[in-house]
Amino acid sequence: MTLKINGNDIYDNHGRWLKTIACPKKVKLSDLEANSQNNFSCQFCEKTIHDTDFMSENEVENLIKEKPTVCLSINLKNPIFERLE
Amino acid sequence: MIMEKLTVTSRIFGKLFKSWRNGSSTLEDDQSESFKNKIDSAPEINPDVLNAHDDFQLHESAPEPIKKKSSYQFQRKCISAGIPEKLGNTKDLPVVQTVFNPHELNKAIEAGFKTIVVKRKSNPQFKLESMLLRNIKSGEYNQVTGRSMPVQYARTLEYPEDEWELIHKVTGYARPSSLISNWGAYVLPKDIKVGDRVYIDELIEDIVACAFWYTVYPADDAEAIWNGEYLEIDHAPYGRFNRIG
Repeated sequence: MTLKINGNDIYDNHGRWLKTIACPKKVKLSDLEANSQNNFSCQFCEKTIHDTDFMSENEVENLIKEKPTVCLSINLKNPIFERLE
Repeated sequence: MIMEKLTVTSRIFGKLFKSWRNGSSTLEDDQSESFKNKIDSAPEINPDVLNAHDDFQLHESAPEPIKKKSSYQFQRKCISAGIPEKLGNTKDLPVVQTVFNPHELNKAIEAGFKTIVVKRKSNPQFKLESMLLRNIKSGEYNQVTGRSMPVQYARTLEYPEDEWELIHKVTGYARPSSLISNWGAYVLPKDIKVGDRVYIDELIEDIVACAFWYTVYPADDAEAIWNGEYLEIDHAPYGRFNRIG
């Protein structure tokens, strides 16, 4: 099972839209500080950004369903994501 | 206004960087006097002052401010190198050619091109380190970062000494071509102006495009800004390998 990435949109394994990845502050990876919980702290809006490098496909999908406005960091080299573009 | 700002930037950089002519290269010594006048001085970056200019602000109307730092400040040692990543010339920018031998460099100079000789410096992020272990009972081999190795999905793999024997400490470099020759030269487009954004099809410098866990992916090409002295690599385009939001 993989999550699909098309542009900035994430879809589940069945093609159902989950979330659009778009930071209104246009935060970059180099702007973030890693914290001890394998996440990042964002200094711009003080939210936690979940590092999906440490998560399974199910964990990512469940987290988005539970908290649709959650912030994620996605590495496109991560094999749990399949790029459609 | 932008040009004025960039000129100021050039002056700042002029103070921050040591002249290539004072460096250790002997390339220039071999050139004829006429070539000496044509070869531009390429700076050697002094890492102590790399970020000293971060406070400098480009004019508001600058369309694409250059990003000077790599996105990847990873702390893990990498085990392997991925296939070099190509950005492609998606913006149809003027193309900078790259040469790696004096013959082609001289030909470019004779043809009237401005050139920059660049000394390749090793990038610590490209140093690969690991241990080759063998399971004492089964004979199975594994290449790991340590006896305790965090991996994806928040797991940690353990390789205790009484179960896994060390066969070799493994070292490597993620961009082996850099070890073959430590210099190259950029051939600039003839009509290039200070502040122009260009596309470098074959990058000389060792730059990380992206990384995932224990694999680092070197950049194969780049976008850069000509500042009148050298090409400033823009790291922003490598951000395409990540999404945040």
